[in-house]
Amino acid sequence: MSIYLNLIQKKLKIKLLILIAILFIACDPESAVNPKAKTNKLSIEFQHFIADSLLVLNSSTYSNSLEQNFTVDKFNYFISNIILEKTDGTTFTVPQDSSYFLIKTSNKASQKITLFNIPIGNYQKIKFTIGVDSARSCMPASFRKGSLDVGGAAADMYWTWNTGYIFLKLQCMPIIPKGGDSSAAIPYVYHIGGFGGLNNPTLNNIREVNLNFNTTLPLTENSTTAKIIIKTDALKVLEGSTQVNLATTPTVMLTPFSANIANNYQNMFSIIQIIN
Amino acid sequence: MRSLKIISLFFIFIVSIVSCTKEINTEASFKGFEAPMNFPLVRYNFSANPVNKAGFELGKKLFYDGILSRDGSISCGSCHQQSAAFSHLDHSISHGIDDKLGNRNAPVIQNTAWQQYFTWDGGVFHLDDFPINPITNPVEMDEKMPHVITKLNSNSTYRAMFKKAFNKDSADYASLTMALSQFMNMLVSNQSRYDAYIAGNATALSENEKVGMNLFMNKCNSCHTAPLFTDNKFHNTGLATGTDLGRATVTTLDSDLYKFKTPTLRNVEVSYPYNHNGKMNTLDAVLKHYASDIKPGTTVDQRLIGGLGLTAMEQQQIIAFLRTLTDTKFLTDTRFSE
Repeated sequence: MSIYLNLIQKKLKIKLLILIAILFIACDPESAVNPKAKTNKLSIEFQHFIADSLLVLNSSTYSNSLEQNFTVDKFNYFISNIILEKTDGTTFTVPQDSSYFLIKTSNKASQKITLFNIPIGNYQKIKFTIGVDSARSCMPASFRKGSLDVGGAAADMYWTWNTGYIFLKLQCMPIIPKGGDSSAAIPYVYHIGGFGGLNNPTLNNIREVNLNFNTTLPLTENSTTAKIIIKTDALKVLEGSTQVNLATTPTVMLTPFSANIANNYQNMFSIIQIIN
Repeated sequence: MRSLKIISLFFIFIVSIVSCTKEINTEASFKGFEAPMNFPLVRYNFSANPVNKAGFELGKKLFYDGILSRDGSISCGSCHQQSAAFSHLDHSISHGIDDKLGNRNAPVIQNTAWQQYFTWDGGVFHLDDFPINPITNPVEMDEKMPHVITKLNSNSTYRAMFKKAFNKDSADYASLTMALSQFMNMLVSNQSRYDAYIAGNATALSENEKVGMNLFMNKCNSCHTAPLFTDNKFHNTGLATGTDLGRATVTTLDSDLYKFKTPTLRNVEVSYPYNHNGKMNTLDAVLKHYASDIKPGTTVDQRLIGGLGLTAMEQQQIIAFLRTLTDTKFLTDTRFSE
């Protein structure tokens, strides 16, 4: 009985301390925030292309350098761990818990992300990861919410049999010539993932992207429209240091070849416009 | 302002007393997870998901409920039966939804808190991320995880249970799997005759079984390491190779070809058939394989090449010992029964 009483007392003490702290913060909101640290929000918009044509799912026909024709039925990818660099070289890392985004071509809203509480200043570069870092990939599900929720947004961007996120999905369909047998059409499926393994190093397809604005983005207290518009060229998933032949390599998932595709898509982003 | 603070504090103080008292009363009869003294440190991170009564009961209900499958016909318990140490008795591979066949033998579920890897190739490394495998596998439960969450949230009993276990107004993937983990982590098997012998009861094993135990410790224990009877590693045990690449499926490494996770041998007597493909029906067949039927291959474990050199009598003595790992209390414990 005395053990229980002790336990109650201990629990109460801790609860009281936490509650007192919460009350103080709640009653005096201004004292909790450093008045010197002025912040604002900043948007990033991803516009999806195939080379110079806007990407429209399931309708437009596109072709690659090998003149293979196809339509696109899915193009999704994860962006995470965003870092912004100021003109003085200092950086701001977006807090990790709010730095995972699943961008889907089929969901226009997902292509525009808003970062909150960004310190005001002059920015010149953005850096981010394509995929989900190994630390987060290894965390229990309770730490993988929002865009990482495999019971929600990320349901089809997750390998159950080999725990880990699919970093990027590109699915295309070949164009069947008139009179051709459409039932014989083999879809082109590229599901790229692999965070490097829990203990022993395995395939690591995490890639980092650095984009220079080539101009300055002044984020002020009064900014309401500050935005970085980024072009994502889905064709570059299949082109670049490795030209992927759709006919001979129609499917790539967790195989060593997937690293070539990750190297390709590391270069699929470019800055379209910086808006103050 | 000051008086408001004092009033709030007083109110919260009262609420805290009430909530603490209630918590202790309901927890009193439920022991929660207890690690046996002679077991190594657990691998499961209990601080992120401690076992509580409400979570365990929710996990148990989910484990035995077809609601996790597409058409309600298959539950976890369909292929993981308690009497077989939560494996699928007498099924080399399991039949799931629409009687479709899987390609691997449903393994036992016991002592999960000490397990580093799940599934035969170890593709899953956290217990919480295991259940999504059978739930979404087209030949097992063939369901979509968001749909499972929707079904659970449209069921008032489940909503109340999630509220009680996790203090959440609705179910989500994390709490679903955490509840299942709480149930599975409670499945501790450590009350076999072997355990009684280790605990000091010298007559718990017969002389023949003790001879078998000594043989086992010399020949088998380096992989099937006591007290969990697994090394949590992957080996090619010289079975005839098929299309299943084993660990290499996960790592893409040639050096992992045809390697499979060392299964625990606790309750091995009641969890036949054996191996990842369930192709051996009896312990006699398994021992014969290790004694003299190791197929050659570049990734075959060096210790097995040429066989273990066991006589027919020695094989039977090892089998006699393996039968002492049967934990009848565990297999019939009503806390875990449907």
